[in-house]
Amino acid sequence: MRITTDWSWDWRPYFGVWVLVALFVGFYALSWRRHLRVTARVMQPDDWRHVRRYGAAMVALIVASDWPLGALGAAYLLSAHMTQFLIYILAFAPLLLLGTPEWMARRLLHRFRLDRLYRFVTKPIVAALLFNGLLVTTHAPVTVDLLRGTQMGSFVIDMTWLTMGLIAWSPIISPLPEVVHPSVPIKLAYLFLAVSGISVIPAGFMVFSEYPLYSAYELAPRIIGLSALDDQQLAGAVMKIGMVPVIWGTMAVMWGRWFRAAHEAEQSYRRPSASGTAPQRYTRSGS
Amino acid sequence: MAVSRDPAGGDPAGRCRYPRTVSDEVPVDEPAGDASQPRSISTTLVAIVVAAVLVLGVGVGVGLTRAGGGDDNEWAGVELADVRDKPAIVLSDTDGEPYDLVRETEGKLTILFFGYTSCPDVCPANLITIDKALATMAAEVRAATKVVFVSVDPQRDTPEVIRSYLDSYDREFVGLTGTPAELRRAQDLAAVPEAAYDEPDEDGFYLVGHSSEMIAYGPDGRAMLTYPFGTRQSDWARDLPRLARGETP
Repeated sequence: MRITTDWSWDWRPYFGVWVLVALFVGFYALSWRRHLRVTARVMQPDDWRHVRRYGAAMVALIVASDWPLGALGAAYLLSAHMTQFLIYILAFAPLLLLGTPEWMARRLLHRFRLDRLYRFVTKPIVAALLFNGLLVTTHAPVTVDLLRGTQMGSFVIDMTWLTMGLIAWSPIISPLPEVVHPSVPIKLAYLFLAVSGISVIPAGFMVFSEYPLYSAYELAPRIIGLSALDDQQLAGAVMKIGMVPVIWGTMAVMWGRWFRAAHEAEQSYRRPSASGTAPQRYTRSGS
Repeated sequence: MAVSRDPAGGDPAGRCRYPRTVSDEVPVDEPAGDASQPRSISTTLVAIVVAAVLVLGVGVGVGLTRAGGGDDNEWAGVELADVRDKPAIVLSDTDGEPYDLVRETEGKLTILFFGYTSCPDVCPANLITIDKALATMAAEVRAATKVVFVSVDPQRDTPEVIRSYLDSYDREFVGLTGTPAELRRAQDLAAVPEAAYDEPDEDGFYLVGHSSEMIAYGPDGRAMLTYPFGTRQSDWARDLPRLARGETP
């Protein structure tokens, strides 16, 4: 049985996290540099938008993985562990996707021969199954107690969440247009059911369980007077409620844009033509 | 650019600025989902993995419902090789009065634990776990149970310090201390390893190596089970009522 030392608020950065961030940033910067050289371009406003989003993803990665949240979530507080999960799934993964331009994503997938695999795992049904299967697996007491006991195990959990997030968001905002599902109703249903729906099950267990579920957190030194059960219930609440702003916010924006576009399309169809004869149908640019 | 079936497109214009055939050596993209091609090994493997993850997820989901449950007939405690009688020791309680362990806890389920108040990990975990477990027990179980904490650090743990420490968990917990000789004898009679003291650092702080087990003496004064560090609330919740009734493995 692992014995966790008392928590200390002394700053203690995780060297491995900074190495990982450096690798992410280094790869990104070198890719851009090469791309601009090969295409003989300069950075455009859209390019800088990608860069800003990617930078935000790196900030999310540091916040979720480095001290104090990383340390708290690894060995002390289940609520911190759950906050890490939400940051990976709801901030880091979508920002990483939004910050990756199409050309970079294609090169990366092609270089590692992941094209087919990526397209397969990001089909909505497959993505939903994978995401929720891994969600339950990575939150099972046996998994948490086994893996959170070591740094490597914690790293495995964190990287699994990162991968889950990338898979889950790809049908919505993948850099590859062919992966993004074309139907807004399907995407809305996917977000509601697959990404936010099933998570209420493990969250419910955490909130309503009579005893702490995870020995890793139950036996850890207490912090700020929070008992293990209170911490677990807080974690369940964080999991249940934390997804709402991002998921439902995304759904609201998608629905709003879809409704507006459909309304405009209908209005343009009904608008009479300049000659006063049959209504002239207008279509969106690009076709 | 692919034409969306949906007027909203679902994908804001401008995300695909570069034609797929023109880039820094990016090959032409293959059409997705070509049904005429035979399913590749990697796709089959992924399908198997997805199914396995789903089955595993369902399995561990069911396992979540059993977390902390366990077989009602099994004991969470570790069965002792030899039955131990409650040590006949007389130490000082937190009021400074003599405390005869056998007499004061006669007929009660007694959980005996050796530790010290400056312990950074084992003692707090042990005490809070049994405290929280007892809080969920029926009143008769709580009334029939005595938790006795014996400090093996007489230099720092005065009766007042011990009382204050235990009150942060449960005011009903009994705290005992004694002279070094008395404490060594108590540990010896309880058949637990004797405490070992580190050298103090420059601040005078030192750690004490001590037994981390909590010995459960039944109402008959005999112990057949011990509970090591790592015993959980759910484990205590399963065993305490049975121990209080006098059941033994």
